[in-house]
Amino acid sequence: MPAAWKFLSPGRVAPFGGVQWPEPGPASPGPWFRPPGREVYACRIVDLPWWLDAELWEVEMENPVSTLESQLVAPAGRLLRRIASWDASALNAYGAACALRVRDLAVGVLREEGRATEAEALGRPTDLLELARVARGFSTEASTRRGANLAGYLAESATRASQGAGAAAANIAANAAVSARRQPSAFDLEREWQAWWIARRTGLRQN
Amino acid sequence: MASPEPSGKTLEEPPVPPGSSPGLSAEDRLVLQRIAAGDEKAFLALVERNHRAMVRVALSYVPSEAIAEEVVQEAWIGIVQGIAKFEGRCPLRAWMFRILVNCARMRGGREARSTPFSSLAPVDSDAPPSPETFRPPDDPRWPGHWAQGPEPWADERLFNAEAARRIRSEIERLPPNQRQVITLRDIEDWDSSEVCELLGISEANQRVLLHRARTRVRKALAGWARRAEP
Amino acid sequence: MSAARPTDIACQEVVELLTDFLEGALDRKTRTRLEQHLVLCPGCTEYLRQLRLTIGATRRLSEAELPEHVRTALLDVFRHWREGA
Repeated sequence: MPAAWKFLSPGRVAPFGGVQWPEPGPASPGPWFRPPGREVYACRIVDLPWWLDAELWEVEMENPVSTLESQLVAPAGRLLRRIASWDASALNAYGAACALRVRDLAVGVLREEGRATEAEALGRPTDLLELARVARGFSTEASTRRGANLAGYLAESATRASQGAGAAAANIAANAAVSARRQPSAFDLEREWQAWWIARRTGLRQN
Repeated sequence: MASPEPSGKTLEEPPVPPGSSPGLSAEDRLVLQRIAAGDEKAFLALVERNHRAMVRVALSYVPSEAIAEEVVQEAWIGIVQGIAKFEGRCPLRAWMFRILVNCARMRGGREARSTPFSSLAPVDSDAPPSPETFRPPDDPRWPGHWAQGPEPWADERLFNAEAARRIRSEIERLPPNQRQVITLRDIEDWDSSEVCELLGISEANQRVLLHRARTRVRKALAGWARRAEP
Repeated sequence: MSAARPTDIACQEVVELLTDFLEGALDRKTRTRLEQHLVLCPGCTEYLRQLRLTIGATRRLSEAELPEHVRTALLDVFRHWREGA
């Protein structure tokens, strides 16, 4: 069975249905969770950025398992173990990493447009809120649409990251990538980068 | 209290629609048996569960709450008199509300229709909430996303009598169709299929009305429920 | 260009779908898009939370009691019928 993971809200609660998943034992899988009339969903590594939440669990899905566009689906699942390294500090680090990717993109675009001073100004802040403040200043001043947009995305992403809203920061980053690279495929590529960031941080392996 | 002869009310049960399973739920059956045997408690329990909803429904046919109350009492007379003969080919509540609707239509036809008078005091003016707005379609980065999003609520404010008063007040102000649907679904906890059957509307239509009603009630609460400035 | 995926939905549309969502009336594809949007949008997440709180508060109105005069009048009707039967 391919490895699968699942994000849950605090207390093993399914984020949209509100039902609580049963707990695994110290060395044994939890009981099979089979919500009546519904299905259970889980993630491969590439799916993780779409479903971010407070708790990350390794799960086993009951056959038949189908692969949808951004998740796995099965009639039942059970929790195997909690990925303890996914905690609040990991979420904060994730948001910050995504915002700093946007900074790289913004600096690149501004340099392309011959705006070296502004590019340097964005490179200096070491604090997310300060970065957001500086970027906000450029989002109305930049003369071209693209430069202004990237500065705007940076301000938004850094602000969300500073609030601990990692998923929001990451989504902004994926959108920023499209604007910077002028390629719709940049969105999914950025999401892949984000997925592998999570996997590296938490030591997940996809088989 | 005078007991007027129920006139023109049909107590006939509707034919069972094809594909549905006839017969009463076990709960309905028990209630009927006890009431037919003269059990007051069972009767009052049935009244408690349904009276408010009946007044609501009657209000959509007659011009005032006072007349609606009279119509409902007429309907109860018809229900009590017919209950021993009720064969249970449709759910008990559906039969009861058919009787009610017939009474209400008869009465509504005789009274002049006018806008229902709201007897509740108007809501005090609040500090206006920051208007919740969306970005326009030509926004460079986020068309259709929140420009000014909902301000967080202090949840505990939703649990007191003032919240109830404001909700009631806003429900009174809703257009009749929306008022009916939100009352039956969210206050009286009817299934969506029961509401659709009573009002003669589709599931999709019912959801639209429910959505509009809930959206307005939420908005009415927003000004008051939002967290006070620290 | 903002939303790169043509299937991303914006907040204005999400808000209109929330009752269908709570009723379980969305097709799986739309429901998935909406759920994914909630993951990344604190504004819509808060809006849905407030909508649920509103529904819960509305439910509590049903705890209001039957007026005494109505109870008395209907009990009269019932007893009248019972004695006549």
